[in-house]
Amino acid sequence: MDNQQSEETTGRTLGDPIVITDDVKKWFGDFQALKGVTATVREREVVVIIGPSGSGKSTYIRCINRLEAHQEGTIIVDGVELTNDIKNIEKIRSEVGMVFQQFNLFPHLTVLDNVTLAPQWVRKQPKAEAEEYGMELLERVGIPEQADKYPGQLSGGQQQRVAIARSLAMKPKIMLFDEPTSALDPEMIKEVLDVMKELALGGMTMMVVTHEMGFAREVADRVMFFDYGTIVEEGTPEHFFTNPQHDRTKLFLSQIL
Amino acid sequence: MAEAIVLPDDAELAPEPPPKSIQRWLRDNLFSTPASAFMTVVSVIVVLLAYRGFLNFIFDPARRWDAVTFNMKLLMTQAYPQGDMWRMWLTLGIVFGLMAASFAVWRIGGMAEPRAIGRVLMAIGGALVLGGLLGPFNSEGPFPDSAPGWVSGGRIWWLVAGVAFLLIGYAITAITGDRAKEEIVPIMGVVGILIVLALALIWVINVPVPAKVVDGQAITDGAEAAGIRAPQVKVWRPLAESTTMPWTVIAVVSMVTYGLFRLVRGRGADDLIKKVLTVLWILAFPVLVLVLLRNPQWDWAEGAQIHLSGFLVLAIVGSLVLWWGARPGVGEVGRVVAAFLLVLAFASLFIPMPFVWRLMLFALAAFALAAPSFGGDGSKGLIGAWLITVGIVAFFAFTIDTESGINVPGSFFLGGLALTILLAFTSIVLSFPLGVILALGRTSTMPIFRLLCTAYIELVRGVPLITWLLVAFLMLPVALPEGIELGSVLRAIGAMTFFSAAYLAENVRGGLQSIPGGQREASEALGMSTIQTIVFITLPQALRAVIPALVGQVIALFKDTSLVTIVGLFDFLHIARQIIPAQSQPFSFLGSIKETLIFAAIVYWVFTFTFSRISLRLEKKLGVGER
Repeated sequence: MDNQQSEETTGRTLGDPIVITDDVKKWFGDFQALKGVTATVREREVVVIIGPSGSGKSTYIRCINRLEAHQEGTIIVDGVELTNDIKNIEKIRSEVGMVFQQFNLFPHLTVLDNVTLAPQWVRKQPKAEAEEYGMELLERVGIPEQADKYPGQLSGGQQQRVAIARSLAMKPKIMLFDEPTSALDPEMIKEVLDVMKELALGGMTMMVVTHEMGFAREVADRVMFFDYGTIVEEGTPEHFFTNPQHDRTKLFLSQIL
Repeated sequence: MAEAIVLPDDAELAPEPPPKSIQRWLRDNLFSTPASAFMTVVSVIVVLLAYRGFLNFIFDPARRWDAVTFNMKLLMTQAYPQGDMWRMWLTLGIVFGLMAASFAVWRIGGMAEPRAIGRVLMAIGGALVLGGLLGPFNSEGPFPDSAPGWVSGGRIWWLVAGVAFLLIGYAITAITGDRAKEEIVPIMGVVGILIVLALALIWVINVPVPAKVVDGQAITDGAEAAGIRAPQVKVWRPLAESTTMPWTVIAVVSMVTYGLFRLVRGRGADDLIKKVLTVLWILAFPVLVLVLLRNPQWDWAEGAQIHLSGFLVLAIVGSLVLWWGARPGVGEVGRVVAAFLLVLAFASLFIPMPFVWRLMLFALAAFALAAPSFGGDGSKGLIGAWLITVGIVAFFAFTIDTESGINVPGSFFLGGLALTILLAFTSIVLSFPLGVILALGRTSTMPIFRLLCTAYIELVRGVPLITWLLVAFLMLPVALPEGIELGSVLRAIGAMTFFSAAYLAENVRGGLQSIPGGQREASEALGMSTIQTIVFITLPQALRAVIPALVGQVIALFKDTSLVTIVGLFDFLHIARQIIPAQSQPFSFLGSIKETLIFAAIVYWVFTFTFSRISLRLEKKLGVGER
């Protein structure tokens, strides 16, 4: 990992390590999804994770906020090690935002209620304050006028932007994106990627699982290529798209680009 | 086949197709294929035969419908004392008044098409004309004695009424013309007109009722009390004569209330009015049933001595504990205190004290355990919930200890339809929270709690309700600790609540399982705890998803209340099926079971049909914004 280079490309100054994973292993029954993943993500860094389906990239980022429990190795997020201690897990989850492929908005709540629910009940913010900040976020993702609608009345791109606002409302230190544009129609992908780009420029630490190579090239500090539950290759986007070393990486990129 | 793909010309693309001729409509809808023509003919014949049979039954001279009208008060309230009937009417008036206010504030009832109303009227008219042609009417009339003209005159009145309905229905459609398909008629306005018509009818229509007659003069209750023994005869009076005035007052009060709240609504105070009405609804049940209908004989001094001080201490101490436990910084220490309270609650099982105190200790422990999840702004709500819980339990502890001042034969002060409604309403309301807790338990990850809930559900569902009622009546008194006695109605309510909860739990579990896993994941990824995820995310969606099944359970429970007859309670069906047909005085209604059963069936149907309509409306309303 070459920090000088990445700072030159993106104009961000990377801070201290905030996510440290060491030899993380995970099994689903007999199937080993993660076969020892070791990586460190630093503050304000944008890491894009690519790889074929079934390679363990989604499982990896779901382990970071413990939606999946890893079985071996250590994961330290913001100085706290993830164990079975439920208090630690809830604390980590409130620091780590997550955006899902299927949006997973709460269909029975209005857009604004979706955004303000967790700050009110987890962060114990007063309602008025939470709503004020929620509206600010909805303006940031470009849909303040939809605040009183229900998720089912919005387009896919709008729903995903609400989902991003919902995560940001918790003022997270790290944002995880699990294929945020894979369920969207092509013309809606750009509006979501634009929001994500703006977020990256604002200095958010991000781990993004995606197939959008343009986004990786433009925004990422670092790209990780996953296959068969391990990191096969990692490096700057420049290195990755111009001079990949591994045969498996070359094959994957030739198919996807 | 080039013609087949020619685009239709502009006329056929117009939004409204030209109205079909009647022959065309019949051919398209009723006689489109040989099979459909056959089914149409068969169905029409069946319907006509059934209608004819129904009319023949109803207007058979041998029918003793006066068995119903004579015993109306018995059917509705069993032997509620005449002098206390004003309590019954006041209760009804309060309930209807609250309903009217709520309808106005919550904007129940939208707009309807004039065309739809016209169709309903024409359908009624058609049915009346058909009835006039099919019915067993003759010049003598179905009733042997002085029945009024609308019945004995027979056929001609049915035809006249039917044609009148047909004409009015047609006129509504014709007058509104092009606007007949727009939703421009306020439904509540139609309801108001119907109420006025019904009021007019109960003043006009005559039915046979008993009367005490001395020298050709009907006498009052007062005269009888003075010692005049009078023979009872049947006279024709306005429908339910003694109740005409109260019903009129109730209807007028309800309509005026609706009008008033209509005026007030939308002027900025809606939220406050809604809150006040909600509180009034919650208060209505205990106040009406335990205070107004029971005519309790309060002993304030004793009540204050036993209950007031204790509950005051509970309320204050509980609020302080919760306020402290919900503060952001407390965290783990709060849970330790909650655990200590739980231990205390279990310890109380071994110390002699009133049962209700033990219950309250357990409740406080549960509240304290939940406190860290509902801190911040939510702590006000939590403390409020605690105070309400304490208030309700205190109220019940005080009122249930107080004797009923209404003394009637039998073990309970209510009977008939009033008892049926009380049983059904209480069991439904109580079984809901229990059912939800059981469903959550059965789907939880806590193995012992899950096993307990599963065992409960399977055991309770596996045994008929009648068996549980008998257990509650025959075995429970033996099993209960000495000194605790439960009234028969309380035991019936208990059995039905615990039975119904098991079924509700399975329905709710179905709803919980239909919620995609992503919902829980999204909620947890935001840092919400398990209990917050359940309360705010999965449970509301699950309950919405299973409204039809829940209402089905409510309907089943309402009808199942008739099983309490097995343990000797005088519910509605018990009176209709056994008490009235066994009467031999003052008139012999021996064997008039068909009439009273038909009446009971109609009343049950009216209630259950209303539930099912409400459920449809609820589904539609809560479906807003659903995926």
